[in-house]
Amino acid sequence: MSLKSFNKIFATIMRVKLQSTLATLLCWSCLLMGMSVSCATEVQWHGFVAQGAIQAEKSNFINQTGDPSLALTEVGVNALIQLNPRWRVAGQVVYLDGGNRYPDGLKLDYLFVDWTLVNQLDWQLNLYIGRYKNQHWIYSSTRDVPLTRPSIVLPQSVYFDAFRDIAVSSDGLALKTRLDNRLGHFELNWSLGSTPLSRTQTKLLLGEQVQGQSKQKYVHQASAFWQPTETNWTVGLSLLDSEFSYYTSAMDIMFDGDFVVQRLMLNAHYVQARWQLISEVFQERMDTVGFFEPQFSLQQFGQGGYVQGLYQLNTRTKLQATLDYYVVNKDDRRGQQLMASTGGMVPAYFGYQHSASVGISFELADRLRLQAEHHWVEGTGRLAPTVLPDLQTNTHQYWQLWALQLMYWF
Amino acid sequence: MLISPLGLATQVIAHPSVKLEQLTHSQLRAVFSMRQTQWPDGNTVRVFVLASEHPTHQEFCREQLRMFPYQLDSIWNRLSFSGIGTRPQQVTSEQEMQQMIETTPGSIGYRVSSDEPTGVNVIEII
Repeated sequence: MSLKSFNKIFATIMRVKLQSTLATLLCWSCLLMGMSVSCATEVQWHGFVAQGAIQAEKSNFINQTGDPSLALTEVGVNALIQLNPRWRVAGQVVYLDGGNRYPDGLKLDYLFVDWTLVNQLDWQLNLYIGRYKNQHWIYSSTRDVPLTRPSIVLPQSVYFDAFRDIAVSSDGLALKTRLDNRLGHFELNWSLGSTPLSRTQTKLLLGEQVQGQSKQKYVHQASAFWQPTETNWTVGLSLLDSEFSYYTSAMDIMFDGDFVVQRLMLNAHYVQARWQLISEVFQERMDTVGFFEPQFSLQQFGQGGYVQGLYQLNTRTKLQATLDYYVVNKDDRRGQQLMASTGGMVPAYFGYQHSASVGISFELADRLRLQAEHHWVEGTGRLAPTVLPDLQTNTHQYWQLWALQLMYWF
Repeated sequence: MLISPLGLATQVIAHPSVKLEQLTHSQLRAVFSMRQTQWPDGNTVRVFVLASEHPTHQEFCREQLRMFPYQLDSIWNRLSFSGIGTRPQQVTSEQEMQQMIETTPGSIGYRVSSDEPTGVNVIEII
């Protein structure tokens, strides 16, 4: 069976299954609000299906063998019901398979009520209640939607795939406001919630050896974006504060633990008719208490960021190039302290991960795109799991990744 | 700054129920990026656009919105796949645009500038 035929059959099956699931969820949401779907004035449906091939030799990024893989499947369908000019309900269900990158399967990506509190020509304020998308980083709200990404694999310093499920959406409340005045255009976001963590997600983050369960206590975020009047620049700032706990099981080799993650990130985006320049840089504080042993305590500051250039070669072809940089501990940029503290058991290259990548995308037809890219990587600091790393598979300081993906959306 | 290579001039048109004479460029951007969902009188905003590659759409983006067309596409994709907005309704020709604006309450669109009297409200962008 050709890849195209496989895509078509798979897309049809998934679309029927996903639409049915999503319609049920949206109906329940409306009923819970005391409204029936029949009162809706407008419904919009959108979706996407993408299938690709990927290989990351000499690393466990996709699989343990480093062989080429078809674990590059992304399917989603969403609906938005406009109940009246002030109230909306929106939801999206996705099916993802990214190999070792994140837990695979069917996921409720978002499902929330959107209440427009203020809707003036120069000022708008919305409140989102439910499972809302992360609106705080440049690609965070649609990192799981292939057609909105400039590359198949996003820069791992900021968009660490093992954290995808935690970073993409949360259950709670979010506010978004837009302001326009003589200084330019402003967008301010605030959110408070948490994300349920599965056992698979726990193992992906902490290590295959752990037997217990982790829980995100909360994630509190705020961000601001500013486009000065009459310029092609947008600059932004985002803040994140989150706490996780690990609870051991009876047969566990680890101990109860708490993890605090705090991130400060700056971003900039410059646009021209045929090219764009995008960058996000951050510093992240991570506190670990317990887990390795009851009295264990460690605080370290990681740093990272990327610079990405996009160039529109012609109406159908776009090129991209990205430099990505990440260090686990800013006071140990080459991982020597990490190696020394583990008696040489963990190689120094687990303390960082830097990469360069190039990519190309072709618009084969309206809403049909083929994308390809290649990454050259040094270090394994952003290969999951990070707390108890995979020392058996990740035995190389230098490794490479290529990916090819065909995507269709409606 | 964005410079027009096409030499066209465009104007913003709305259904006569939209009682506005002027909008600023930033207010117009909010409307066409689908963030503004209501007019000041509370009626729903209904946005009509031509295809991204249409010369009139490209000129409208540059002249009136002061954006590149791909930026609008990107915003619409981000809104419609994160649940916080919808895409505008796309029409296939300027004739269809004129017809939809004339017949749809709360609608807004654009056309090549014309002095001919028609059943639409021409909004000045300041």
